[in-house]
Amino acid sequence: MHKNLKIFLSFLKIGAGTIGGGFVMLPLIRQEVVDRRKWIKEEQFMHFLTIAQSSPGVMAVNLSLVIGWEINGLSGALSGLLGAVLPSFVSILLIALVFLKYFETAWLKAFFKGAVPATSGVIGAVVFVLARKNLKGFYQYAALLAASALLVFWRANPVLVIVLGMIVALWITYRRKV
Amino acid sequence: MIFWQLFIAFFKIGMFSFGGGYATIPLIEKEIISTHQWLTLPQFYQVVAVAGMTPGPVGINCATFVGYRVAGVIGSAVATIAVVLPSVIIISLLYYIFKKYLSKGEESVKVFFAAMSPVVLSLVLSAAISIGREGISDLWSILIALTAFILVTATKLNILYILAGAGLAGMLLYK
Repeated sequence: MHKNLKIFLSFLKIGAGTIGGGFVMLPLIRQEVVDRRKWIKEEQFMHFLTIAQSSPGVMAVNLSLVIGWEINGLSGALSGLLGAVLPSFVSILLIALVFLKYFETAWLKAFFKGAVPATSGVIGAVVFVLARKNLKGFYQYAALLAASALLVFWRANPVLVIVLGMIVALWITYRRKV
Repeated sequence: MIFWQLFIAFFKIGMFSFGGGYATIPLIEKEIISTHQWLTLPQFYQVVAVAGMTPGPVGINCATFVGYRVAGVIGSAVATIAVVLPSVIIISLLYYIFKKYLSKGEESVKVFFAAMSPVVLSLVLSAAISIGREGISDLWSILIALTAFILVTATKLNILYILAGAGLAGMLLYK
């Protein structure tokens, strides 16, 4: 199978199979491109996640683009993008045209009552897996906890936390050089 | 012209929304309701609810749905293309810069990315926590969340099956 088609199908599958957006897609994207397809290494994945989160726009779209770039250049990036976006486009149009009235059924609500806690477990697990591979030493874990506390308890703006992180990261980088 | 207005509005949303997912909602609300009055507030909340319960990235779902409400199928295509276009440009630029410096083995770039890792992971962790706060309400849901966590960390089971299985368990438990 052509590489671009493989990239497209991988992101299509993940986009079509997950509900709740980028953070839900993240664990599946990691499993697909790192564990299953072995297109990129764990360390690279962390770099790409950093780029995707530090850029404006839809996080899952950014991630599909940057991973696609790495696997097969511009055509790979566009294949990933198309795969990530197409399920949204088709399912929203279907819902808008046909299914809107079925949206409040008890079965669907029960399905989500089971799926939502699992989603939180799955996203928690990807943090665990990525932290184990990428974080080293006391200070990095302390920084993870501090930044999480800012976001969770003080409801800090994510942009603010990223910018703050960048400032600290630049300072650390500068000090290492001197 | 409505298509051009849609394009500009969603290009702006794609360009200036940071933080992913629900963090982009206030900006979309500003463009759609305050600036253009394309939807009423209850209509907008319906869009957000449906976007959160539909496959695919939430931001794309919002764009597609609002585009459709405002100007039909072509409107939804215009809004979707407009919202991803800034990403295509910015990510391509960043990827180019990243490759240029990291492939040369620049130590300082590696240090920078390593220093950013905790912050990047904290955003993911806080998403897990806020989804957990919303979804974990009883003993069963704690059990489901723990099972999902263990299955992902300890097995190679496809995560799609884990999520589908949890949904089916929900149907058995809560219907």
